Amino acid sequence: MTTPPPKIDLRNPIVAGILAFLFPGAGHFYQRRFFKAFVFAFGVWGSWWTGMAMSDWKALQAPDRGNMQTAAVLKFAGQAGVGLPSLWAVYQSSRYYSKDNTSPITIAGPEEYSFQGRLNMRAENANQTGDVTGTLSLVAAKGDFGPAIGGKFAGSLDGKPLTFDLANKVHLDQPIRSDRQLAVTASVVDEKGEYLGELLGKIPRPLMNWFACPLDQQEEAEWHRERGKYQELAMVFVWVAGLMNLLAIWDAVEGPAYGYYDDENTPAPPPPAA
Amino acid sequence: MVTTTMRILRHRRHPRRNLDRVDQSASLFNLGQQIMMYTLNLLPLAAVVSLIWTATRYESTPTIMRKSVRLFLQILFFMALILVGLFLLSRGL
Repeated sequence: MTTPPPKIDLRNPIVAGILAFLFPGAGHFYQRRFFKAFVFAFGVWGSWWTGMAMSDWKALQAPDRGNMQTAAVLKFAGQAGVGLPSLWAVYQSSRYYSKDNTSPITIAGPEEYSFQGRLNMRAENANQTGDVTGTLSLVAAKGDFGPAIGGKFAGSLDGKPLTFDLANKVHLDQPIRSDRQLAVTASVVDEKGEYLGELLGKIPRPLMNWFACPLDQQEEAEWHRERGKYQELAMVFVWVAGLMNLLAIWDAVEGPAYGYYDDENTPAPPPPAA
Repeated sequence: MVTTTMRILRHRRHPRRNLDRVDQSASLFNLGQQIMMYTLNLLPLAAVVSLIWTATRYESTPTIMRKSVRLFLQILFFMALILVGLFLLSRGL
């Protein structure tokens, strides 16, 4: 008599499938198939993180729902198998293409950011022109045409401390963008409000505002130029992770495709009785 | 004699020729190294693909391990075969 293969307890396959989709490995962990949970978590996440790191964290991009282009949809379809990040990418895409994603007119309250940039002063203060680092303090202010952003800059130029007031027309880049830094432009003024020069630079953009954000054409071109062939390889890693997780979801819902063992391991049936 | 003079003249006309040749071979070496590094990334990828593919076919851990190693070697073999084919096709280009 042959020993039947052990029965695989899939528990609730739908729950396992959803968990496997959202977090690779979690579905099998729920089913107490620990070896497979480790294999899928290690394999899918390993491939996904490698691809993301290789692409400078820009490989994950969901298409614009208002303008579904085939290339963008196909590119995302390969990645979508890794659920949680993909769902975030869809949400991020809707934020990015939203009408609200424009340069803010004003801000809610006082905010402070570390700043790196360049100070371009007028001819009479030309000795203060150069690269600066410091802290940018922004406040809601009243400009010539309504609400605006004002503030102060405190930092250093070539090791010498500097403090400047900023005119009430500080310009910030759109909040949601794939760039990890947010561009700032401001006019530097003296105590009387007289124009002294321009401050141009960048402040850090919060992770939630740049991660898995779509790229515009210029950013896409720059990304390809920077990464070269590694951009393509990174995309392959992320696609492979997404597609492999589809197989893992299938395994969580239906069990293994060929059975418990392979044929070589299955005990041979007894010879027929004479 | 004439040939030697012509050689000297040609060399004078292209004083950087020898240097260029050295630069070229150095850059080819770098390019080769880069391609090698780039191609090495495919090894872990192939290993992970074999492991996951086999893990979705079977449940028994020893079977998964044995089959995935075999699949990994098969993938490497066919990749090497394709590499050799492409190398032969691109020879002399």
